[in-house]
Amino acid sequence: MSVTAIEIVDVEKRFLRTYALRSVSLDIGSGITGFLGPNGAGKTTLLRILATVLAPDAGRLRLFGLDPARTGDRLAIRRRLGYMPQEPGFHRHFTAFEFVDYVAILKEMTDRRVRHDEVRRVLELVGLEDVMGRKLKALSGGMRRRVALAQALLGEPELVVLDEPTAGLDPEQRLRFREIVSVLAERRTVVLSTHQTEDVAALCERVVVLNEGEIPFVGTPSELAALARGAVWLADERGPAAQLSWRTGEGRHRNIGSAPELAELVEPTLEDGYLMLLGTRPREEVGR
Amino acid sequence: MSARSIPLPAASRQRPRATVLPLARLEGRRLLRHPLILLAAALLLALDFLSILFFDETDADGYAWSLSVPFMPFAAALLVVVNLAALRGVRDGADELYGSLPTTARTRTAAHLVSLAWALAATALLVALSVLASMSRGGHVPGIFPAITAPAMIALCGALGLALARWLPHSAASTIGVVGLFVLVNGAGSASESRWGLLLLAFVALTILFGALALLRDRSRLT
Repeated sequence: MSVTAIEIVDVEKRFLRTYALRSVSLDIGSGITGFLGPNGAGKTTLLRILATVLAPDAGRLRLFGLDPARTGDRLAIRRRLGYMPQEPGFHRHFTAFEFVDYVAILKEMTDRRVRHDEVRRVLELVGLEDVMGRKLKALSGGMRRRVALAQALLGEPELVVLDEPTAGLDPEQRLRFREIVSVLAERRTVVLSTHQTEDVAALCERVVVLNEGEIPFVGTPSELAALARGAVWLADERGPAAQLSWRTGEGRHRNIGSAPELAELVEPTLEDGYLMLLGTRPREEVGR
Repeated sequence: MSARSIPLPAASRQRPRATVLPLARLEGRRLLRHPLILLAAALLLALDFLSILFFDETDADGYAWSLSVPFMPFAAALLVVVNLAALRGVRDGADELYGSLPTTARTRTAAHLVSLAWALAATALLVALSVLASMSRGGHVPGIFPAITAPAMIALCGALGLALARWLPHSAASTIGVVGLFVLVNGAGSASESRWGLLLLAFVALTILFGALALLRDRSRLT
């Protein structure tokens, strides 16, 4: 069994009167843990807390057994952390190499030759070796996301926190990302948030669903998918009593919830389970 | 399984101060490569050339002018460029990323302060050129104080730009700094030889004050 790298007990975070996190408790070990949830669920807040950028208002947090509220511990955690924020804040006049090199210095890589080798390594890892001399303002959104990923991988951190890493990546880049992260997670703890259920299904050993600052589900992707077992139907018509329903590309209707007439029961996907768990919106909103 | 402390790998046990020099080197190089600095340096050389053409080489006032006024656009440019560099994280929204890294805002500020050495070296070179040009025409040979007042003014402007970035984190604040600079240095052109020492002392004291103020503002605490 993997060592628990992250221990979260009754963590709360409020912004003015709004609760971003309510009494969240979770243990995370090595491997890849994916956070799924709608916008405003608290994913980014939780990842910022794990990245030691935000402090929780209440509760207990330990990263590698260290308390990020203590200055010395926080520094030790940051030395073992790689973080890719949702909006990394690129310096547009830096080249890709200069930006990653700058972050490498801020990660205390002081030996110039070793640092430059490491910068080249991570840029090659994300497939940017041909554009490392180009200014960031000249790179596409997807390439910039890869630069952001590259800086998070500097120094082979033991804990990698990735906020929406696949946003803006094309399918080929997403596959490359999955490859990189799955290799990375063989010896480390990777925590990522995403809206892409396919990424979670393909990559994550564990899924944490966040909704309105709470965790309604923690388990494996297949356990999340299993929540919708016996409740996913394919039919020619929209089911009148279905909790959620949408028209597939093949022209049939996928219904979650009660079975419509002449419907065919199908195996649920992770997305079905996720929608089943959170799908409280009226059917009309989804089906259009 | 409960969380347990894992020993840090030896390679990551670095002294935070060790980051200052590599960071300062990077900032110093970027500082000197900035278009505004390059433009100001060209203007400085042009003004210096004009002062050689129009002032009597033996005129101490003219010489004082050539060692102060041409350096003011350079000093103003440095103030703005240092301010922009120190505000990079705020302007580009990178503070969240910086906040997750082991190097604190104070270390970054210290690196910006050290990076002023690159600007000082460039200024010293420009002063030396100016002095050599004057001496080659048999002109006034400066005392030590007038010769180092221009670099001192440059250091002051850099420290002011940095202090403004840390206490008033808005690009417009550097404009206030530039106006303040011109008010402050207004008397330099007419300073008599005997007053150079005082002026220099004031510049050094203010540089230390602004540098300390910038360092005091460590915004890397958890929120």
